[in-house]
Amino acid sequence: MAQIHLAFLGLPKIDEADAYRLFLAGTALEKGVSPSDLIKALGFPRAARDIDKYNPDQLRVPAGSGRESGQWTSGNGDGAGRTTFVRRVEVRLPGATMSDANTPGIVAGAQYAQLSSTPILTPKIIDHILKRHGSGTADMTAGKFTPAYSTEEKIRKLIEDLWKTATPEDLASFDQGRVIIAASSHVKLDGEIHDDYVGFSGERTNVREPNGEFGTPSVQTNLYVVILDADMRVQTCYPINPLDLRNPRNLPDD
Amino acid sequence: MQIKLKNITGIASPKVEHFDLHEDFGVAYLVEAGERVTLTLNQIACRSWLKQEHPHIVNIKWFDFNSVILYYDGIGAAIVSVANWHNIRLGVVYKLFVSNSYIFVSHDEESLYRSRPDELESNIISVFVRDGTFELGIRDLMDKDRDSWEFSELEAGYIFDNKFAFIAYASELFWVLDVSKRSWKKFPVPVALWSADVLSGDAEKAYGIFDNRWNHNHDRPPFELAVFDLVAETAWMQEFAPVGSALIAAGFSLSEIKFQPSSTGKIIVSDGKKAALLECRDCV
Repeated sequence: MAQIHLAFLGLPKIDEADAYRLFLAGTALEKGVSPSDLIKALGFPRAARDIDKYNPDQLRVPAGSGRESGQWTSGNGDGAGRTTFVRRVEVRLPGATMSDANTPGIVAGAQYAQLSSTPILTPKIIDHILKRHGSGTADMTAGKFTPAYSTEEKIRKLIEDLWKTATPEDLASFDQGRVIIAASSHVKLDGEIHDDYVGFSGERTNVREPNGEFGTPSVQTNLYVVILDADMRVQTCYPINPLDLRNPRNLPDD
Repeated sequence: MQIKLKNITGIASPKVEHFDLHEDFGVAYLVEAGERVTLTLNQIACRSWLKQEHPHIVNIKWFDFNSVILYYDGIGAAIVSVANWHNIRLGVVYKLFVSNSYIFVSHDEESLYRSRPDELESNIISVFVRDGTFELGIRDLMDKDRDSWEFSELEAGYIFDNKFAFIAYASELFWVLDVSKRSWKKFPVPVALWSADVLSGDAEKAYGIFDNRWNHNHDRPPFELAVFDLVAETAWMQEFAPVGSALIAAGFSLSEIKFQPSSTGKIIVSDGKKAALLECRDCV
């Protein structure tokens, strides 16, 4: 499975010199050099910052849960023995920039989330989401929520849960001020964690994907995105295909 | 208010959503029978093909009096007549309109958010000349106009004088794009725009119809009508009842009614059995 993920990543093959550098890095770690110091020394300050913010006390999905293991979560009691939660998914979008400085007018989500329990979500936005991505939409190319999730209450909860997990790094600044955040939904049932399917991705049978294949059929998915504008108002929210490499996606296990 | 239903036409196609109705060109639709798809122009079968040859056609629009544009659920589109099948590249088509000089293509929000800045879909609305050559993407205009940063997806639009009048989620403005001048005009409207299904009109007035039946969570009536005054730059809601009465009088079943734009943005009404062009006039 890990090899499949690596194949999706499209990492280039390494030569002997690169392999030696990796060996040296591994040895340095074994000798006690901290990962953040090593990454800074290699010229990746942003990645070092990610490591610096690691908090071992933060709630994580237990080991042994496959791809989800160790990801950050936010829990919500949903009934006896059943807990639903969402997990942040790192966004990798073409056109997105991940800079230290916020785009003018943008308030980083985590900073904003400290002030507000939810992004701005008006009836107009809910109407749009339900019309375009509710279970009744006739657009077969659109991401579509299941009937159970095609309610104002459920959409609000999905967005609020995602908002709670957002970090400044998650807020990939798209052009013209929009930001995109993503999460996967899960349910913990009698101690076991399962995917919580929120909807179906749209069919895109004639679109050539980056891997050279043509399109993807509509599939059940637990992955969804929320798009926000420059004033942190939600613009839309819809389920997406986890295998769509040009949408926000799960990264492989480390 | 005067309501006219023109070009009333029987539509017995099994794929009733795949048809277009034009004031001058008539009715065009696709019929699926077994493995074959047939293009029918004004009740005459013009050409047919195996479904597997072009499996994902999602819509048909009149292009001129003897040809149509077919577009797929991906990046494909083609101008098709009895004798020719000419593929053109329009990006991922969500809605499409045709004027005497241009093809206006809108791209849906999912295509927008998965696009690269240099891809057609990042424009939200792309304009092509009629041979398929790219002419203008509104991204160029959006970069200079923060009001347009609200755009996520086209809601509805229509053509007049080679201009494109439109409303787009989540903007609360009414927009008129002048391709030749590479500019647009806009004005705020005090009506709720975001669920308009169709918009039609001319240089002075436009009429928008809202089909609220999809939403069971609020108390809006099933249908609403808005009037936009492009000269006075304002808008207001109007009673839908005269439209409903005209449709019933013409034998349409209101419970089955659908509204869709024609290739030029005129309002097509249909109930699965017949279709017509709906015109509103002299509202005030």
